Amino acid sequence: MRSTRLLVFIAVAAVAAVFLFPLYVAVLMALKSAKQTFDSFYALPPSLDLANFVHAWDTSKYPTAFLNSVIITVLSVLLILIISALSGYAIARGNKPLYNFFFLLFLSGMMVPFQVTMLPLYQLGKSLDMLNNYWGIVVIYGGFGVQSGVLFFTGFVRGISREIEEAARIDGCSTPGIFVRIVMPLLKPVTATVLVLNALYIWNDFLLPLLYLQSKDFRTIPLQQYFFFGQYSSDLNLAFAYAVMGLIPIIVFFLFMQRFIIKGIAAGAIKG
Amino acid sequence: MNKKLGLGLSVALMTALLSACGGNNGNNAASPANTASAPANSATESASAPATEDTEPVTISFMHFKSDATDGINKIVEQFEAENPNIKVDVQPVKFDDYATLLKTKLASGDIVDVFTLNAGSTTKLYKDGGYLEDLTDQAFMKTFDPGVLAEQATDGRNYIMPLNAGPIAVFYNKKIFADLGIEIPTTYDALIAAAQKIKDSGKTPFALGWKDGWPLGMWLSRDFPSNTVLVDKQTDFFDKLEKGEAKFADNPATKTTIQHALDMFKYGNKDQLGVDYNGAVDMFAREEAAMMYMGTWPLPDIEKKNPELFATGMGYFPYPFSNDPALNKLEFNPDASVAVNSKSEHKEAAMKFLAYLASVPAANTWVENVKTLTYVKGASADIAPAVSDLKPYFDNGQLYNSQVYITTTIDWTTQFSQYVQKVFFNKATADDIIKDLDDWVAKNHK
Amino acid sequence: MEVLKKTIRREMWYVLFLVPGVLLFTFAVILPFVTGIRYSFTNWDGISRKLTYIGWDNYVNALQDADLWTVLGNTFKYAIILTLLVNLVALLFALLLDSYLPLRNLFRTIFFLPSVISVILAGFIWSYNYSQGFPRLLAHLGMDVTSPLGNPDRALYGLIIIAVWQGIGAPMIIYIAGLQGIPAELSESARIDGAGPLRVFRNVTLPLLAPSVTINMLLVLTGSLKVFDLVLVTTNGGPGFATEVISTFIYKNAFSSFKAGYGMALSMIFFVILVIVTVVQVTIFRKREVEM
Repeated sequence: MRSTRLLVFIAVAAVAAVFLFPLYVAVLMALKSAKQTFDSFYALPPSLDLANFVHAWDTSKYPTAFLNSVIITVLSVLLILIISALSGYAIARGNKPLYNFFFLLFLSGMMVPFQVTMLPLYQLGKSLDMLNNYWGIVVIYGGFGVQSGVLFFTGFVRGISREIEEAARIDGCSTPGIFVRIVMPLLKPVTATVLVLNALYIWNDFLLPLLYLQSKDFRTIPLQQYFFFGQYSSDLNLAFAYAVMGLIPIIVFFLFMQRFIIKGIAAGAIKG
Repeated sequence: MNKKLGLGLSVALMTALLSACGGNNGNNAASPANTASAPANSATESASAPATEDTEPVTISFMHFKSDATDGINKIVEQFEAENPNIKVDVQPVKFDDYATLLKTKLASGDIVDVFTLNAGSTTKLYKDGGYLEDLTDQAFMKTFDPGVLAEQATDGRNYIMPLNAGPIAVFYNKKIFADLGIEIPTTYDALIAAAQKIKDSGKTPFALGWKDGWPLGMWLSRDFPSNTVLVDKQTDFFDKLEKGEAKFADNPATKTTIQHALDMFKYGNKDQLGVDYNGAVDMFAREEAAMMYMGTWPLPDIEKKNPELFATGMGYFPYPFSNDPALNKLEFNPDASVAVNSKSEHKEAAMKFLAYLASVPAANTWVENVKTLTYVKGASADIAPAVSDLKPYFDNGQLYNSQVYITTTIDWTTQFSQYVQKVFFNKATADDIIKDLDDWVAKNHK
Repeated sequence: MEVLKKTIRREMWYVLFLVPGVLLFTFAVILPFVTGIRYSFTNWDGISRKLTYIGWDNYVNALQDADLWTVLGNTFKYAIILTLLVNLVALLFALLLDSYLPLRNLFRTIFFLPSVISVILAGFIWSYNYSQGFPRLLAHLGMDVTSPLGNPDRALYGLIIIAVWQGIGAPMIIYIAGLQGIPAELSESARIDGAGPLRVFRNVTLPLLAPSVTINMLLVLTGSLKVFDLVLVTTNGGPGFATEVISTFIYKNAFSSFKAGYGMALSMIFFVILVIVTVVQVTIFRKREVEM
């Protein structure tokens, strides 16, 4: 029994190594010059040389892209959370055919392929001055995220007993009062789910920024990366340095928030 | 539903849709004709003042597909901005394979790119017909170019693009490998393949391909095919007829020739022909694992960095022999990027200044030095690499040609042909199958 | 009277709560969707100012388009294999990492890590590893490998490997959560009754895990049918159309080939397919869950 466990452990460790290998190559590339990579692909660099990072930093407006990603992700997620919690609560507690209709509407919206709405969205954005600023893309992300958000919140609220709310109502609490004081504190687990799923999606999204944020001043990290890879398509070491720079924030975030993220995903699965 | 009624209804709907969310387009009446074009009239992304007050700083956008030359072009832009402190250039380099799509999307939605690169020929005509290009014919800076080149790049008799850089597209070869195996520089296609066989037998890779990227295969295909069509098979009006739907690939013997050539290339290419990208191919040549590489001059800076010895003395350059008639196999010399000004640009004056600067000798020299391609600017340096001097006799004797002028159709057959021919590589289809597929595709897309 | 007033006021609040969500959704999804439907009945090229209504022509042409069936084939092949593989691997890892192995939190982190990376980056890193990294590493071991992305027979599998690498994180977490929801006494008592580990898994664990299986299957399948960025940045549909999927096909028709109207019709067909797949899947799993 012990020896099987050891064997399994070794096998899993090997798979884990394979999982990390592509990232290792990326870091290795980022630390070497083109000549060094050319001379020997897997050799470690003779000394720690951050020249690629410095060059990538200087030419790429990385801090701007980072800031854009943070602002857009935070604002969008906040918008999604507030709006979906409100709508989800209304649908769960209203419990009328009308509300069920909206529930189905949100559900079917999730099946609309992005390709259908892409061109119209672009035209809409263009005609409403939503391109190349924060609010335009945040509104669209809000509309996207609210679909699954409402489903999660509705499902969760339906699982909460109404008794406390009814009691509060008898005490003279209004609906908004009940929502803020009683319901909101109960929504923590599902809030975590919606937050995590949307934050990861928005942080890494590429298509909508490609449509909405082509101006250099508003590009997010994935978009900036895409353009950077194109520009330095012949200087791979530089491109990898930029890739690693793009990886750092999300990995750091993940490592610090791991428990929260995992809890959020797990909670969503059980309730959804 | 009645078609007319449907159209009217939908136009009304669209008007309602767009005007309901209208906002910035105060100058547009909500007439149906204008609504669809409304986005096209909105302001550029740059928040700069109108060009009329030229003391005010102005930002022009410059989108180009020479993304491998990003740093070189940035140098030119820096010099320009230093000389014109009131003009800022927002440079947007885009990978060639994504360029057309991105440019189209931007232009279609009215996102005004002030200056952008184009390839002379069919694509230029497409944009000109779309009304996106400013006529440059009478601009002073155009006089600095050779009239012959301008004539070649004209669209319907006028010049909408300014030639930026140019260069030969030919075959780099490793002199040592050739000498060791006793290979002479091939001047016919059969000799080229015989040389490839010899190299393969010796255990080296004959051709470095890098066909994971779309453009290297496309570049070769869109030269081998028109050259054979027009020069060997004398089908001079094939592309014209293709455009009008009067000719088929099946009727053109060159189609089969090119497919056969592609198969040869594939056979004598590095292993993993479609898995290795352009950079990988250049590496292979620089590492002296591959003996030949069909390419323009742009990998030269990279090769110089990676294998300076090879760059200085070890490599040569010869015209690609697409036929078995040495007299036909002249040196392919193509304009590469040309520059256009958007007819809807709000900063035309600044854009023209930028073009004038690009046409100046200092800019051209920076270009030649950093990007290692030639330019059409008179008086600019032509000293790009030792290997390129091998081609001097061809330049001196005027043995140059440009296969791209033969392609007079706006149909983008290259991408489709490239994908289809890959099926033949892996025996997924025969040459006849894909010729039929190509014709079907043309019929379907260009009624 | 007082009660009625209160009810009305309460309902008014619910409506008010619902309004912002519906507005946002209408604006970002319904409005563009309706516009898209309208375009699908035109011959609009995506650029020009004129568009003509051509009725159902786009749809008729699409259904007769042999390429559409090829790309649908590719899409479903990709999606089905990926869904099965991701669920299998994720479940296996979940079983091992639920309680069995030491260092399980570290492993969990490692297996989840690729999920937080953007597809652009993952595609870029993997393309390079496929063409340079792996062949060179394996050459040291005397193996001669080439990039799967360069061979039409293997390219789709090459993409599936990248997608598995990126995709098992969340399903694994969901399975672990599901496993932790199973009372230990159940499998314990089965073991006491003499059932081997395989039988315990089949008769006790798996049925109780059914809700997790349902949600994972659903999430991965719908997600992988819509695959887009990964194909765009790695193979762009090649070689020889071997990895052309429905969404890249639509994208190319609508944007690269100037056939926006046709592209919209294709995506409407895609929408219908997605709805059917989801409905069928939900029905099947609902039934099975009840039976179990």
